[in-house]
Amino acid sequence: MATAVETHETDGHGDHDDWHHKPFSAHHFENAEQQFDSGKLGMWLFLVTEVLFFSGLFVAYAVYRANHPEVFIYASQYLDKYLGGMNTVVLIFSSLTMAWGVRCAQLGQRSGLILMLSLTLACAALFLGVKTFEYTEKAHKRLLWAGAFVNATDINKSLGTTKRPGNHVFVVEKIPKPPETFEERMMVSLRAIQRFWGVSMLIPVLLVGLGYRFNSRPTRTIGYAVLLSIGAILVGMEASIQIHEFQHGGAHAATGGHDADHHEADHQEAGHNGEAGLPGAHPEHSVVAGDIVDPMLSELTSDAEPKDLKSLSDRPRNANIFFSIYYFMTGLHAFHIICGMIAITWLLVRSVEGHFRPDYFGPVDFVGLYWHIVDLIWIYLFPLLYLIGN
Amino acid sequence: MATASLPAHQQDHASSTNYLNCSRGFLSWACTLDHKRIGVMYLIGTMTAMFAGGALALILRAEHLTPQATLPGITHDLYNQLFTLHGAIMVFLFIIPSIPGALGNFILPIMLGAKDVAFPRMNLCSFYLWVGGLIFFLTALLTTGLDTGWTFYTPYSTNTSSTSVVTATLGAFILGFSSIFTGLNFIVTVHTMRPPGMTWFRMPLFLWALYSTAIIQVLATPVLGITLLLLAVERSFGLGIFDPKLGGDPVLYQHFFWFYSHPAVYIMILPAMGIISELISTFSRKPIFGYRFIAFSSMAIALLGFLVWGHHMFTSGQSEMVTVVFSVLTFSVSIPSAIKVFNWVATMYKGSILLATPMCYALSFIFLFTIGGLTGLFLGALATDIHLHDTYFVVAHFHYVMMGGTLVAFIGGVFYWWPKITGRMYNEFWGQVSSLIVFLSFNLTFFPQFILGSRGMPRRYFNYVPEYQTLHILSTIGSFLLGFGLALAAGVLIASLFSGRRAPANPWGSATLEWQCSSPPPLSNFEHTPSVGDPYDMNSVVWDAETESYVKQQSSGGHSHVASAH
Repeated sequence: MATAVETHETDGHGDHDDWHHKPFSAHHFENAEQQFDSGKLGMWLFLVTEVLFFSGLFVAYAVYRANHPEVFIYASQYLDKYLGGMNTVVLIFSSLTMAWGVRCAQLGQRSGLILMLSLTLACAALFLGVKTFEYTEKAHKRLLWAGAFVNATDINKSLGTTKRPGNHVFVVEKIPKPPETFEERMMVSLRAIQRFWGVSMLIPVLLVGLGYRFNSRPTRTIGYAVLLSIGAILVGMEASIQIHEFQHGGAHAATGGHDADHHEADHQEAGHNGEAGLPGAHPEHSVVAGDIVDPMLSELTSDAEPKDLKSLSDRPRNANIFFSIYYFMTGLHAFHIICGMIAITWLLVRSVEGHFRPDYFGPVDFVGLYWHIVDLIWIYLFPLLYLIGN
Repeated sequence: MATASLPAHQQDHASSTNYLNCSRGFLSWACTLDHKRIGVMYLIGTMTAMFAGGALALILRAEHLTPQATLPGITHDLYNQLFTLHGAIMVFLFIIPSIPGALGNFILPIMLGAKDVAFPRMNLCSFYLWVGGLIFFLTALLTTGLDTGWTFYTPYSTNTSSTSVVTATLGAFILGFSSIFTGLNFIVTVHTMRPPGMTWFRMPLFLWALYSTAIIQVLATPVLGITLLLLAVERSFGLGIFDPKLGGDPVLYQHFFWFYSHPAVYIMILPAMGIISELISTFSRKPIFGYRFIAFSSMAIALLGFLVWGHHMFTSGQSEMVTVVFSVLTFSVSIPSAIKVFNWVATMYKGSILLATPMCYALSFIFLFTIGGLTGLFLGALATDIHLHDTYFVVAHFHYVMMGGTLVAFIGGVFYWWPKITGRMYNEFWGQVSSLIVFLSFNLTFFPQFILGSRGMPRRYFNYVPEYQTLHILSTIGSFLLGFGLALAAGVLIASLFSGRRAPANPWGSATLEWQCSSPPPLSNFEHTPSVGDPYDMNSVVWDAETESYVKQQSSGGHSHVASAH
């Protein structure tokens, strides 16, 4: 942990010969080298714990892929490999800028370091923007984790759709179509999220203003960093929307409503048979969540013509165990991205203050290491989740 | 290094301020970055947790005086909650953090001749995470309790139990990070902050033990973290990973859980073994026998400990091949453990043994740990485990190791370093009495449980058949005597704070570095960089009647005495 390196503020801009009187020297170390080595070893050990933290999930992935290979091949087709690929490129680029930033810190290039850290931060936020789009799209397709279907009626409520009678999948055809198509509803959600972020920009603007008003440079830096992050999130979302529309055109409009009917009727069924969220009470009804979701998996894609997807009858059981793993792994990874963004913002503040010099750049190095491991985890996640079905 | 060989008592006179009185007030403790104060806070906290968990255990034992319900108000459900909380408190709040957090924090930097651990803030953070975990467990206790057993087995914990599983799980998750931070700190400190002259094989064995422990803490605990996180999400949102209804596998949870929790058993016992190595050598006035074997066996236990988790699931449906492999690997752990025991016994051979209180506890440890370890072989053998699985035999086995091993060593270590921590000597006679009571009553408590288990008494049962009553009564009597013995030990220690005589710098004649600074140590531990020699060269310190303390031999300044160590 980079923050663990004790920053011992002394009055020492004067005597630079004595290590103990330099700023950011921790008094219990003998010299700068020992302090740096300790921080570096500590960071590497922390990365080991990170790897082991994720290892449990990779093991779960391996176990379930071995147990249900058909689920993984089937369900992974619902992930957009172009968006995932874009995110991979963005993260790899951010690793480059981070490494470049470490070099800048070592050489004492203050402005270069600020630029590189800002780029890294923007890439991280861009990644999250794309991820926001992916999650929103999947939520609208009901591609959720397994347990989400236990209380399917609640999900209908939360998404603002109305509850209609009829609990059999074949009754669906007679029900009137919903007012909006799937694509339109998804876009409504996405625009709402974008508006939320747009309005949130007021907070960093306020921070920057306060920073100027009270002449506090760190406050200004934080304000600018948050502004940059939100901007990059918006860019990421917009880019994803464009890619999505470029891929799918408008051909889905005719089928969207139809599909929506299908899945809502299914949820009706789940809610009914499940009896207050306890599916499995009547095993003969086969209300296993995987069965409930599968019709959507096969039909509720926004593709006009399902590519080479398996037909409804071929759908595997328990298909949403894949999405459980998907959400948990990518969610935990996104959490690490957010932690990294906080750390990079902290570095930005300190580099604007000119704390880093060729003889003191430990924190940049340590956060850089952390950033690379977050990147590396994604490099494993991307093929394991997105590319296996092809 | 002319100043390096100053006699300890001169330093003692030079410094009247120490880490205890250098600053005052609540905040000077709550915000301290001093490893010694953090260690003391850990000591108070873990001891409190121990007595709380112990009180629960006494209620459990009293309940078993009769085959049916004994105590009014203790229902079947409450019984389930009591044994769960007893286990969870003892494991997560007491045994795992006790020796590294309390004694390790206090002693490790001083043994290394360092001013502090590498990351003092992370160290304080670790303590506050422990407090945070405590709060979560208290919340669970005060709301709906917890009745899953400390292992949180699925599917009971996810689908059936109506108690605060998520709260307790998050508490254990937070305690895991507390443990990781302590371990990470220790590894870095040992690697980068050893003084000049202290090579790896001149480190006291307690440091080797803490280092091995720290490796397990850093490598195993994150897996527990992700497991508990998955469990909490599974229970809250229905992730499906452990739920067969949704395509998951409950036995996978057991694998994940024991992948941490078996190595965690070595987190508990390894530091205890380190303490014993110090105690046996010091009180036999002999260099430790087979230093390298003990050091390497700590590392071997740490590494082998990762490969044996499957022996908790012999009856959970593994393939025969897997069970055989895990059984063989389980037996292999007994080799480094036995090496340690043989070396301790060989150290005592022809030594001039002083039966001071810490040594009494150390001898209890060797006896009890040997029984605990050997009965582990019964459980590691496939055929007998089928019979003994989930019986009182298992309960007795792990209490012999965890309580007879870790707790007894911890108390021995507390008595040993008490003069250093508080600057006061405790009452030797009553200390010895407490160790005798603990030893005898421990056996009275848990030996009958071996018999109960081998005759088929299942663990975690509220009722039992009347044939078992005699043994249960014996065990209950023992447990109350044991509680009395431990309370007596605590009383002896606490009384010393008020009436004990001032402790000299080195009351025991040990050659490790922590005895070279005054008792209690000054804030920065050493005024002068201590000289680093052989930590077990008992000839390098001699009794000085004037200060009633052992002092470093004047004649052998610098490092010259190292050559004469062997």
